[in-house]
Amino acid sequence: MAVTTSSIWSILDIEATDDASTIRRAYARRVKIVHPEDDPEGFKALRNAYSQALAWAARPTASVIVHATTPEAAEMSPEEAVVTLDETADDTLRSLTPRDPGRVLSLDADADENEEQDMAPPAPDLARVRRLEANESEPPPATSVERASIRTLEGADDTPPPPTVQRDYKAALAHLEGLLAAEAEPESGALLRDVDDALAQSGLISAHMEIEYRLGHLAAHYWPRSDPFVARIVAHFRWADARIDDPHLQQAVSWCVQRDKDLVFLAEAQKRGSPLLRFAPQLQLLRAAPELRKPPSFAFLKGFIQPGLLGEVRKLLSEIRAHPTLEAEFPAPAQKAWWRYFNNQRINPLGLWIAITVVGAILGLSAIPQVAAHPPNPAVVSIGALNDVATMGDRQSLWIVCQAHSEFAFENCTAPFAPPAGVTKAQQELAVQTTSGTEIPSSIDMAGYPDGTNVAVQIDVSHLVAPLPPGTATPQTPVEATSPPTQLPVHPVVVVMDCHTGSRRSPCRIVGHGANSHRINAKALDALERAERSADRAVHPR
Amino acid sequence: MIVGIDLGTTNSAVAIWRDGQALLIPNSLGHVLTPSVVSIDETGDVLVGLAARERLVTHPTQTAAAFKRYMGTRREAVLGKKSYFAEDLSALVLKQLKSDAEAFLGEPVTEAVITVPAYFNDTQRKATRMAGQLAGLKVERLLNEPTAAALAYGINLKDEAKFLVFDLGGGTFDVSILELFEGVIEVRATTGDNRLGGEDFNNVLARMMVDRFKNDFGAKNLETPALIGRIRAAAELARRALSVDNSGTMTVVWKNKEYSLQVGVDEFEEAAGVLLARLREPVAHALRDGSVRAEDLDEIILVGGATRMPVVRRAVTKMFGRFPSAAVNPDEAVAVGAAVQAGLKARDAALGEVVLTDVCPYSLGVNVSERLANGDVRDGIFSPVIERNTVIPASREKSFHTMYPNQRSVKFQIYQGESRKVSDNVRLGEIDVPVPPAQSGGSVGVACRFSYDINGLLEVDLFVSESGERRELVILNDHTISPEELARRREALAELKQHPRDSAAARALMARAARCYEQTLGERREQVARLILQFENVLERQDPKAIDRAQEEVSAYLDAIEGETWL
Repeated sequence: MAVTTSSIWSILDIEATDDASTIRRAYARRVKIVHPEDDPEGFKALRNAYSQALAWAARPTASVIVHATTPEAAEMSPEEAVVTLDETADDTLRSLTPRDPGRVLSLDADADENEEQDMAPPAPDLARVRRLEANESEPPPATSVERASIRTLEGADDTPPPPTVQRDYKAALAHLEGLLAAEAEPESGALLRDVDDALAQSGLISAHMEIEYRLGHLAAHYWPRSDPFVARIVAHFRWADARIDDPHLQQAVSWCVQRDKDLVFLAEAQKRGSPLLRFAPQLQLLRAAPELRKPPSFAFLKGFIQPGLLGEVRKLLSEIRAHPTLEAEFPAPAQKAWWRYFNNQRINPLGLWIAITVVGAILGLSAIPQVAAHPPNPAVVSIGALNDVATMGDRQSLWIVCQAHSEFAFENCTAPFAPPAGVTKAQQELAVQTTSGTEIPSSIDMAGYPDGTNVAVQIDVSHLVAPLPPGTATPQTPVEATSPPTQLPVHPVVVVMDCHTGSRRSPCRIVGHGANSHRINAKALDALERAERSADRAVHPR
Repeated sequence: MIVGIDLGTTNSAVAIWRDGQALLIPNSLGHVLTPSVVSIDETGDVLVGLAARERLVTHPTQTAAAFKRYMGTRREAVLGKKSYFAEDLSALVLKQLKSDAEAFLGEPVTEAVITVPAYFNDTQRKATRMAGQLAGLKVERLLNEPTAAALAYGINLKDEAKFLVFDLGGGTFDVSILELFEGVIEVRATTGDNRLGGEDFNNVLARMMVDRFKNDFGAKNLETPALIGRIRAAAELARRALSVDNSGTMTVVWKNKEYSLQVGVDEFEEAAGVLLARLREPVAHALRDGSVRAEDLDEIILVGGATRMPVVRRAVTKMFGRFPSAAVNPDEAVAVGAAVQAGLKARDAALGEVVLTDVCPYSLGVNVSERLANGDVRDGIFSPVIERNTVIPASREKSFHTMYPNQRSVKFQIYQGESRKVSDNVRLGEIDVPVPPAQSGGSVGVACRFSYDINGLLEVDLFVSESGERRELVILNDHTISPEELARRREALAELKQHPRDSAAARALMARAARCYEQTLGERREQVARLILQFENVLERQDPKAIDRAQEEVSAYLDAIEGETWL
């Protein structure tokens, strides 16, 4: 609904003002004339104008500075102005959060928080922005870099935190965050002291809300360091059976609840000497030992010699999968590689032969235009250190994300793309810098980045994305509207491409999806396996 | 004349707006509260109110209580030979209230404002409206209970105020945050838990009783309605006692043996800990949704009979760090507020300058599919169009696209709820719209507009700009049953004869005496039996004065042995 700034004020019948109480009085005066019972349409317009005017009045002063430089600012409705600022702040803060490089990467730059079962630790920077909006006077508990950036946004307001009597929960929480963020591994007793100090003061609902919110986000963000107190807070706030549908809290809470369950599972398993206990050495290995970070290269030979060990690793991987937060704890590339390894083992020579025949047949058929199946996707990328490949919601572009890591062979990531002629690309490091270029790169230079940096490459494939073949069953439900191409998509879909491993090479297929890179590793593996299975079925028709 | 009705889980009440103020209407017993209990007696006649409540103990298989909790479900209560839905039983209560109001006003009553828990979903609201229709009432408005309570409280305030209504009724828990300024009463946020109420606290006590005497009663007996009814009644009495004393005693007579359990306040508080903890989340949620800080609230208003419990008051005091307001009567505020709304509806001069705005407590949206990049389609995703706690009336528009180039129609399924999966939300209806083939392999956009009006009526408009096609769906707040079906059910309820008003007091007393007989032993029991016999004799003589006298005597005796009747 295009409501211009001026019409807001004319509906409210006042001059433009920053004074909320004037706006409220104007609304109260008008609502008695434009009564919700008699004139619903008029009331809706009034209500709209009222909330926009209030948003305008409450806009952070920074937004004026941000937009004063642009000529559109004058035309922009208050709501738009505020939203724009939020995005800016979000991005700025996000890019300044390199705390956990393997997981920080988030392709949903619009901070879509509503993805179901999102296990990703929610970015706490969002939370801080919210608190900024809420105008709370607490000191921003953040690294010095973040603090500085927040201060800047606040307009360099450097007032000291409110004086505290003894050690109140705010101090306890700040101390807790300090411990979690510190370089040294925190001692669990110290963490619990902070948590208990805070929880002891959660009687008042206002404190309760703040503590619940902060602890939830700290726990979700700083795992596995937060493990010692996850159970404590889940029990205290009764999250396991709470029905929290507040989006600000939901993600963190559901993550903590899952983590709590998984930790219990782990502890139980170790106590009872369950099968998982047998995996304990492998568990450690998979986590730490370089030799198990990659499957054996002479797979069949090693499998022959050590079938027991391989079986155990496989079981371990399955167990991990059933407990998502445990899964996320292990290096995703290692897990992925292992799954690839196990899945590849299943293709026997006969199957391979049939596959070749079938592929040949399909290739033959595809010469007849009407029957053409999906064209193969253009990019060929090896999977080694490749974290994610994503298509945006509009399916107009592919994102490829590689993580710099000195231990992994990211020559894989720099491995040749097979750029179809005319594919344009935009290469950028996520939220940090943008490089230019019109050709799809045959390699991405990862040399300049420190370990753990995520590098995203966006490839425009709009003209390559084929429509689904005609004759597909028509589902009758509508699909969510996609954003205009100029904006960042609201619901980006991340996919993992299935590409060649080692010396074997195959066209990339999109096999997995997810909402962000953290989850993708889990989900993509599932999809990967499903895809493998269906490939198996395809070559073994019953 | 529009009456305001509080149709509660435990008690109901009716009030009117007259001469610039709300007036509660007493029933035939002179009480303003009528227990929401229905019983069918031996002759097939229906009893509503106190007499029926007494029969919960003596005739548990012919009596139903707390049926509001099953409103909108297909769960039936079997009374005697017939079975009834919650809306049928509620209709019987409403009929009783209607006749009480008619007797009091001396004119027919045909319109009502009925209150519902704010967190009632669409189906539950439909069922309530249906109950009104079955009782022969035109339901002018369904008003959220905490909003009603806030009206009762806020209508006399002159200044600006922000307050929180904490409404713990017999079966539901609602929290609303309201703001009053310049003659506008605005609901900022409403949340709740529609499966938490005073009944749950009774169940805690009943559970303690069962745990203590499990072996004495025997597992099998614990499933018999008679024993369950007695334990429940004892638990209710103990809860009342715990509201004034430091301990309460549950006494159950079963197979000529008396079982007694004394429960202290601390013990009760500990056993009810889980329930008390469940009071927190909705409060936090409402504060977050309403962007109000707990410190900024001017008052905490307690509403609902269960807030009389000291354990609940203590929990609230701890939560807010101050004492809640005692400005409204927790049992009557909702009915009073309903009457205020009736006055607003009738544009009563005394209320002229007040405007009330409410919110829709649930999000409303449609079912969408997401196409994953690998071509898979994930269906059943909820995409909200109107977010919860939006001020109503409201309209919101969102655009959706077809999934396939050759898709020729789009089905919009309408849901209400907060879950991202539609399967966890409440389905309200569906509507199809034909679409033209997409140009050059693209998709066709459909603009979907939701309009939610002040009566909870949702209208869905679809517009396909490429073809100019329009579709409209009105989801009425009525069951989609035919007028014939409605008439038939109303007829069926009308066949149930309600007892005449003038004998109501005697009947209630008789039921009480019968219950007392079952709940006592030894000499007292014989004394109760004698009283019943005498009272029956007096009733047969039909001498009004003698009946009055006998009633007083019997009540006095019963009061002496078990304390006064409570509501």
